[in-house]
Amino acid sequence: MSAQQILLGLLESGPRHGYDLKREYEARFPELRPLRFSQIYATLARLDRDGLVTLIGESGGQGPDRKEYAITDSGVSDLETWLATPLPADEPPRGELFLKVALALLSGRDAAPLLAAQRALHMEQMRALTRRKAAATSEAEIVVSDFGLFHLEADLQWIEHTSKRLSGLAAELRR
Amino acid sequence: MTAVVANELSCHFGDIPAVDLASFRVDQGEFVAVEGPSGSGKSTLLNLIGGLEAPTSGSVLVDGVEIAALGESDRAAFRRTHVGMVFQLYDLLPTLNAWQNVAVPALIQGNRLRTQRSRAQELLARVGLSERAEHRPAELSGGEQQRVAIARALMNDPKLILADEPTGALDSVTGDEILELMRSLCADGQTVIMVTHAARAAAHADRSLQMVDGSVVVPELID
Repeated sequence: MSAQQILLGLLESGPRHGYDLKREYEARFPELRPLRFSQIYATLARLDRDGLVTLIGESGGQGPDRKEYAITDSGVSDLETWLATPLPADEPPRGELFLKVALALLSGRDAAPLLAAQRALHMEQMRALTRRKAAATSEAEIVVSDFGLFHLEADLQWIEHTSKRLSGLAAELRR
Repeated sequence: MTAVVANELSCHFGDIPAVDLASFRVDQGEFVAVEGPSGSGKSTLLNLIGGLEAPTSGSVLVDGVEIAALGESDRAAFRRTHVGMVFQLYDLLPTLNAWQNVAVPALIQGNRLRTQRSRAQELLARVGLSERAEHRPAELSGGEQQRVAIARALMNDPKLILADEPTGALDSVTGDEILELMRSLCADGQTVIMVTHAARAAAHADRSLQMVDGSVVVPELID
């Protein structure tokens, strides 16, 4: 899971301090692994250096949380590319797929094209594994292929169910 | 060579578009899965291709022939010689043994049962059931019954096999064997179009047509 994309996704709706970003992320995605403050501040500094966010103000007090950041056009474009790119189907980081869907919906985008692209990649991978299994010369090869096939099938069922819940999920996330 | 061409094919039941403007083509020798959830129009699409259902608009050509344009008896005759059907629950006749079930399509064509024995035995060998020719359906496992049904579908040497959830009633290992059997038919030049809601079954095919609410929405292209 990429802290960079999480922060860009949250910043798209408006400028925030690091502290606000952490609080909002944990409130919206309690089921995902929390981000540490150090991770957030380091990522924001890197994003600033790379021109994906910009520092728009520093309030009084001390420490990194004085800084308020806004997303730049390059940041939006980086986020868009990430949101539209399906994950590799051989070893999909499953939480990241949910995050892509959620952040796309949170920003008013349509998540259906991503799910369709992911589905197509998964099917391609399933066909490859099925061919490998059909040509297998050992039980181990069959069992390993099946391991991949059953996991991919479960992902596909999740994709199918999620596709039907996109409008409800979007409404819930934007609340 | 093209086996099936659908052009803006639609089939509406009253206000419900079971199939809506579906356009696709399937080449001879391809194994194509039609995927989609229940009620997405998969079976109706299969019935349109097999001439069991008439389109509301658009066309479907099987082996270059527009089935919907044929009269009822010509359509039935075309179906018997050009299309073999395989169903989820095998639909074998319980009082006939395996080879007699395989021979049934030839009987409907007007042939006598005893003249069809060697052809039926040959097809049972093709599906790996030579030893079970004299057994009745009740004496066969689900996988064996589906093999008999596949042999039956091949009896009149059709170019196209239409299969509706052929592994829906089988365990996954037996299902794999049936799907690889169908794949081997395609390697011999047979065209197979299979409806399934299971991704693991669809993955045995060369490609998938994805159906949602009557539309073919993700026509994944073959390389």
